[in-house]
Amino acid sequence: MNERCCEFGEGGHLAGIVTEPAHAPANRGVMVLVSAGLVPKFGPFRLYAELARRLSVDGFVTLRFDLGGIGDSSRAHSGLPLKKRTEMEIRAALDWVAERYGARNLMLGGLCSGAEDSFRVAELDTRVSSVVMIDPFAYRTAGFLPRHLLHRVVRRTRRAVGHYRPHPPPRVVADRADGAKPLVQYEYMAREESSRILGTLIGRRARVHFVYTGGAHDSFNHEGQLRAMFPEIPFGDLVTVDYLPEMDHTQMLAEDRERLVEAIARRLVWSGANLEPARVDRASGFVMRSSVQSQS
Amino acid sequence: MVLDRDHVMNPARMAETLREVTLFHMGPSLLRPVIEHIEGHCDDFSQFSGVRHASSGGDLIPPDLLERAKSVFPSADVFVIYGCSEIACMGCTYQVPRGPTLTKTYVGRPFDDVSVRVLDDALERLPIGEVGEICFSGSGVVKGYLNRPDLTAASFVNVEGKRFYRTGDLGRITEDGWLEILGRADFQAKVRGMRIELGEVEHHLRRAPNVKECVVMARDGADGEKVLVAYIVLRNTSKVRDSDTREVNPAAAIRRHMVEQLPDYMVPAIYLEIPKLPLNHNMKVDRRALPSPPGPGARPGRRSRAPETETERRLATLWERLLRVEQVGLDDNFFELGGYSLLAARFLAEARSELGVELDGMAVLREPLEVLARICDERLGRTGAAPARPAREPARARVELFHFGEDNSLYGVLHQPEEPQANEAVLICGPVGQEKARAHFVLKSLAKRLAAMGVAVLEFDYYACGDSLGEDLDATSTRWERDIGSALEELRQRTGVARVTAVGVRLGAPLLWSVAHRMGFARLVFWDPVCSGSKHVLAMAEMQKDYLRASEHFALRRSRPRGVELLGTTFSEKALLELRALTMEPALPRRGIPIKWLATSKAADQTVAYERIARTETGSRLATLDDSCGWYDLGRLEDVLPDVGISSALATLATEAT
Repeated sequence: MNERCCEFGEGGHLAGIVTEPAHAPANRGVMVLVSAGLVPKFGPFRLYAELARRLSVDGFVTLRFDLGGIGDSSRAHSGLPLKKRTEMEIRAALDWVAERYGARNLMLGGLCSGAEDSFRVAELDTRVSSVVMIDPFAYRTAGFLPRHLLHRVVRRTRRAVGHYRPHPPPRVVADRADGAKPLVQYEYMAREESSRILGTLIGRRARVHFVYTGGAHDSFNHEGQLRAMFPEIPFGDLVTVDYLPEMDHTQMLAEDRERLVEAIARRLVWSGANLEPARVDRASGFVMRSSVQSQS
Repeated sequence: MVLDRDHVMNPARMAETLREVTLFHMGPSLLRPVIEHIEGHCDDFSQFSGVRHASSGGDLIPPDLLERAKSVFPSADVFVIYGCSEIACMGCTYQVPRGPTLTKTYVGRPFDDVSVRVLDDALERLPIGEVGEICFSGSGVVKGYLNRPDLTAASFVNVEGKRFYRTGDLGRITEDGWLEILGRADFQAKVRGMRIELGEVEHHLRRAPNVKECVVMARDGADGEKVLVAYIVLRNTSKVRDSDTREVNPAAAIRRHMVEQLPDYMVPAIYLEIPKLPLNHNMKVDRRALPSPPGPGARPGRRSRAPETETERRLATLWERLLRVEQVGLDDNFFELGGYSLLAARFLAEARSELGVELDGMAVLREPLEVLARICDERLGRTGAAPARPAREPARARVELFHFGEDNSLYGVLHQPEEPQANEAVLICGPVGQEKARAHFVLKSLAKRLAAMGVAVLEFDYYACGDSLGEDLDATSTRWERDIGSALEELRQRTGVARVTAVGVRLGAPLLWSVAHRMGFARLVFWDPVCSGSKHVLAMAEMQKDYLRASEHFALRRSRPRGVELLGTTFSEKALLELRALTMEPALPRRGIPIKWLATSKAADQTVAYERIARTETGSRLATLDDSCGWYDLGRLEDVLPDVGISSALATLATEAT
């Protein structure tokens, strides 16, 4: 694995790090990881750095970069709305990698806001063939509440028999004391928008992979919920989901990060072998069941 | 010898009198003009050698005044006497040592039959080094205020079975048992959300060109917001020459001096020249008699475009109120003005109620005001209300990204000034692990700020941290110490600058401390250093435990980690041992390297370590900001720290003259 720094965008205002496979000149695709929230390009608890290095083992090139004003990137185009700026910056990253590694199998990915930013730009930039989103938008469905209640009953039963003595999460305590709504309650994009983008991506045979962690448990609690969220869209074999309820949103524990990284890597290996719109293997590509899902 | 008022008020007559006395006591407001007169009119201070005892008290006595008293009265024992009427005037006394230069306002130890305590707001006794309110008990404590039961109840309290008088003075007890006075609790001011010691501002103002006397107060400006006002008595009112030997107005030279010496938020906005400071009948400065300021001053150093549309003005007003800043402009950004997530949540709520607009949090943190206003207008259906105007982009310094060091494994960012103005560079030895992610915004601001001042800055990530290569299990503090050496070499090679100041942040501080003596740094600056590796590890382990307990609803069983996991970083046993052994004890020879220290969080071991270091290292200085970082607050583990004056304070410490 080789890593090197790069600067791109207008006047080189965007800072990134590109991770290349050490011995695989025939790259299987390029992943662009979009920074999440205010966290720099190494990602929460270095998730992005670990993911990029793991993907290089399978022959993928990864560019992880800071959006303008975050980490080592400067702010530019201040007069433009954030969405427009973000779109321009992600497109600049795609231009940079396409110029160096070719536009074959360009992928976008990210966590939380980085996921939704990737999703939006994937709709606009037809070079993007796959999107990987960790804890993006989620909407409660009819099945959500019964599962949620069942989960609570199970937990209370465990608590009653002494198997489970949780402490309240510290952040909740802190927020209650202040009495204010925490900003970390990220507002998802509207369902109409996500439905439109998803339909557009599927229409052009781009792959979309969702990862939901336990951090999204207020909105998402079963892998089958994704399909219920968008009943109007025929997923075919282009949309996949991994539901990893045992880990939190930012994966502070090393074992959680390893599991998440491994799950994504497996998905990409399959997609990398079968991808490109004309080369999709419908029989074996992106199936819903995976070893990761069965573990959870 | 009892003197009448006219005699006392005349420095020349007082100087004459002091030739004849052996013992005197006078307040600092009186002592200063007398000493200045003697210094200005007498070549030979031996004519005052009859004075055997010189004491001062009744007000805060600046250390420089005591030093000058030592010089003017060469044979006298110089004492500080600290007390107040409520304790029969005699609380503590301190004999100023003849040898070392005094830099702090010590008031010594209590007189016999007097007890002193430093208490917190809950009237609990504070440990050594902690700052609290000074309280006295003893037989000299009065019964109360005549016909003022309310004031008596507020000022006299029972603690540990004794009756104590609350002085309202802030102080702390040093490790040597000296009481150090830091100012009046009511001489602290909060301006733009920042707690400011007015005494510290006055200290720097007194050193400004042409300033004879001064007082700084936080007063209400015309818009009701607090502003810092400097009241100045000038030595002469004609134009003076500044450090660049240009002829400028005295106020301009003073303002420039203050901007160079202090972070933005501590620089007075208004400068009022007055002929003399008003004194009350006790010969103390009568602050209530100082005139009101004419109006608010501009925010120093900020020239954002003014709001134009109705929405822009309303948003700007909201920000000014929430962030306690002045003159918010179109290019300002909520986060960069010191906003943080909970404040942003309040802003969202107020925008909803006042403007009827739903904004999302990420936009608030990252958009400039102009764009937010446009979003509001769009959502309110007011299309075309805010025409697009050319935005002024922030100046972009030359930034180089590269890998360097052992196996090219370290990630570095060099901020090169457009116009290098000093043969100086700064190396930032940042925190480790998640604290790096938390502090990155502040450190980036610091680097940009220094680069704008003409100083090159190298920021880097240690091995297996941030964007550097390596796995955390392979990292040790020995390796990280070597990384500091590699970074220093890289900085010198890339800039050609030999004189380097190192900034150590959190765990970066003890790492830097371990190697500084052999690296030839010109100056060391620490921000909230981890003074004890073992305590740091213990605190992180507690947080990790709390996290695991709180996250049991995610998974009941966890696999055994390969090493020891602490807040996102996995340490090997060896690394953990080394980490526990890190300390900032002044055991290694470091003499001659001035040390500056910024404290933004309370930690007893930090204060004690600072006291120890300050005793052995010349030119050391402690600056404090509001306790706002919450390094050991699990609830804020993932919050990026806003730059509430921290980078400004660090830049000042890193560049100020020693």
